Amino acid sequence: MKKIFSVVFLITLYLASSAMSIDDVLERVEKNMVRTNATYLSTMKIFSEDGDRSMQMKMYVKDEKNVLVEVIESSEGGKSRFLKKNDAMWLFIPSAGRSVLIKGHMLKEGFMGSNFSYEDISENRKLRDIYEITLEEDSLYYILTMKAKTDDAPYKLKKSYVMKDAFLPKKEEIYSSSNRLLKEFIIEDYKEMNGINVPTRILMNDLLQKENYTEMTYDKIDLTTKIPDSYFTKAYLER
Amino acid sequence: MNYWINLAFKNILRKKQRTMLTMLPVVFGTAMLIFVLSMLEGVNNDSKANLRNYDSADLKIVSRDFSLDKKGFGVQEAFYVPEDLENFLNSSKFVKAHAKEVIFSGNLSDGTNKMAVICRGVDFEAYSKTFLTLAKVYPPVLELDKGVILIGEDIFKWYEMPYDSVFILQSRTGGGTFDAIDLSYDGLVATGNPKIDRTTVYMNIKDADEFLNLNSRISAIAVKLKNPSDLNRFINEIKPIIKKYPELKLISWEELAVDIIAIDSAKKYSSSVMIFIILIIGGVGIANTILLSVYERMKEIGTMRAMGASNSTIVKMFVFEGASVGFVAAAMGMILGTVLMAYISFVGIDIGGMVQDIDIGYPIKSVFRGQFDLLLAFRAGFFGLIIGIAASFYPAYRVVKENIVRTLR
Amino acid sequence: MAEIRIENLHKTYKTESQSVNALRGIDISIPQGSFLSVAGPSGSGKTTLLNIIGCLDKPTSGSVFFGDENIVPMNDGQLTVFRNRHIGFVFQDFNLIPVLTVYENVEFPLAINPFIKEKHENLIMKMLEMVGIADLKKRFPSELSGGQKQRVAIARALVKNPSLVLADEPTANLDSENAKNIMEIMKRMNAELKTSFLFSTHDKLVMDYASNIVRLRDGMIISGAVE
Repeated sequence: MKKIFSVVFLITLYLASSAMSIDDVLERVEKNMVRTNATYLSTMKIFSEDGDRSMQMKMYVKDEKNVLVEVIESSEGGKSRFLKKNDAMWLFIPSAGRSVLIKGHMLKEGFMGSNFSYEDISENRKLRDIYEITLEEDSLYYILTMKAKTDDAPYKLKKSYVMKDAFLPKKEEIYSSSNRLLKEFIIEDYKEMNGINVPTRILMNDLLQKENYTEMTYDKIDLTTKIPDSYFTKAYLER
Repeated sequence: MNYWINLAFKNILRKKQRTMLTMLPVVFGTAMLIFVLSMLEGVNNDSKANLRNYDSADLKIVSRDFSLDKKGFGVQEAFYVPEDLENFLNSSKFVKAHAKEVIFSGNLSDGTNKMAVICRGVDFEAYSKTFLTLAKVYPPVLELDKGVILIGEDIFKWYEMPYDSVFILQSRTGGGTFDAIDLSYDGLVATGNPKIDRTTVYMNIKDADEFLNLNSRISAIAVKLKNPSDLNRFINEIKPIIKKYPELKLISWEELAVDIIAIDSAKKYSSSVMIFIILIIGGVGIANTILLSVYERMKEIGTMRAMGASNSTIVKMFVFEGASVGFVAAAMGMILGTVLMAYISFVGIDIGGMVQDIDIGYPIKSVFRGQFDLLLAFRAGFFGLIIGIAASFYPAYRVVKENIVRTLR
Repeated sequence: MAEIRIENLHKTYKTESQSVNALRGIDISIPQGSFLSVAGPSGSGKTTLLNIIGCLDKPTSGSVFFGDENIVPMNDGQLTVFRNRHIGFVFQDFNLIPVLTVYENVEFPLAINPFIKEKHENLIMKMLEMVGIADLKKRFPSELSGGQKQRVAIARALVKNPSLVLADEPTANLDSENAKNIMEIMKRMNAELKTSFLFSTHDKLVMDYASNIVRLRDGMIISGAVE
């Protein structure tokens, strides 16, 4: 009986999953990944052969177009603030006393010196608009293969392994056009809050460099407290 | 005249040690002047040659927004080559060769280490005619195939990879997409120009074009002239064509060399001031020696004046002495300076060990060479002579103002 | 050049506190070819007188005529040329140029004199032979005795054929034997070349050789003025 139940369950699961379209998967993932009204206390650790660095950050996310990040402590002692407002991004360094607009080539550089590029966290476009997406699956993952269809896509080829149970990518792989694996994005841990699965520890791995990766852990996540709109202004950034 | 030369030399030799000591600063000042100016001139010439042979050619045609200072990641502003411009370059009587370049920045990785590099996509044949770079590849290459990469020798030190290894060059395409290309290592580029050797890699221009999705756009056309002195004439000839394409501009190697020229003139200025001070000290030394001998020989000079030697004769006599000291010292300085100059010109000073990766401001890496210039030596010697003459005027003037009767006592 | 006439010559040295009258109205006439000695104690004014006649110093008032030419109004440049052409000096301390040989020392007046057209070597050798030291021509002053040095000085004074030779205490640094020789030489030169000689001295020997003696005291002539 137990055995039959499991088989039925698996078949049901299979049917259910195979019924999932690309859009369904993307939508479910987006629900987990895209945050509104969230406050995080997080730690970013950057590992490289040159030495390790870490910083503690407070992040306020109203929606994907209103993000404020405050570095409250870093191993180098530097403090800075970062504001994403619509499509513009600003960096404020208190010791310099002024904010700079991050644009052009700076977008391609690592966010706060990490392996995440500013672009990784600034992309507002729908994946569908940028990539030609195909779906495969195995017993554990929906595998989304995304090929750039626009000239200005951030990546040429990206594979996303979405966990069937959590609808979070376990791993995203970034390839060159010649199919060489360049970067890996891994969700190491997540937890369920208010009905959505929130990643709590993520890794970005640069495979072109030995032992070079960035780890981001979310120590405190608050999805309920309302964030004042005034936080997402240049005035607040430069306060 | 012989009488006075004889007298001057005999007077100088009265106090041999004192004269020697007096001459020392002038000897060293003159030698230093020759040495330093030769060095600066040589370094300057080598720098310019390094710039033109490996980096700038005589002239470059680039996008209006091309900037050397831009630190961006990815490809420099690219442009389509207008057909009439290409035809002009092919037919101009001034042009020896020209080569297209795709210039972009990227990260070069062997899977373990990643280094920021400047990448140049080039066509072997055209590039070899325009630059010496591809002749400085070890092991020598006769072509630049698709799928291969040549790496500046100082970058290569970071990887320790065997010959034929595959490197991954990662960059952003023309549209800004993160991408990478696999290239197999084919040789080291060792030009002696640190800008090239420390930062630059070379690949086939077609690879670059495909990788960056440029559709035959390029970053620059480098032009080498048959005769570099025709630069301005050539610019006048090409200007009307460039004017038709507002997205393009010309950069001559001289504009790219402004840094070198600025450093050069600053260094020349500061060393000239230093050497000038040494020579002034030398001049004061000569003046002091002459003044001392004036006082020692007061009675003798009084005798000469009593016998009817005019003021100008006396002044001439001392100036002749000063000039002789200056001349002998300057001649010794010239010989010493010329020996040093010959050494740095024909042997050179290997500074490689001292400044491994330090940017000294010049596109020269290890061996500093001077410029062997005998005219320079003569100029420096002449300068020493002038110092000697100038320095002895005052003491001589001093003595003819003395009352004869008093000097005879 | 004929005679030298000195008329009513005064020289006053002024210092801050006092003025000293070194010469007080001197009148002398020195015919061509004289061999004249000026004698007097120290401070009598004889050196001052010689300096003025030698165009090295200027009088406060009065005239010095060389023939028809009064040298008193001349400026320094003119005096230098005048000395160069007409006056030779013999000094008490010989005042030879130590770095030059005997020959070169004698050559000096010729080297600075543009008026002499004759070949220097002939003039110099003739002079050295006359004073008897031709064989020493390559020696330096430091290799000579006092008497030899003074002979060089005499040759040097006479080589340009001046009209007057001034000798200030020429024998003061010589022993009597040498002094005598020097005076003999000068006397002979005076006779042969018709050059006037004017000495200042208090050496009895020199006065014995002189054809005339002018005695000075306190800046005035007390005897022997040649009129």
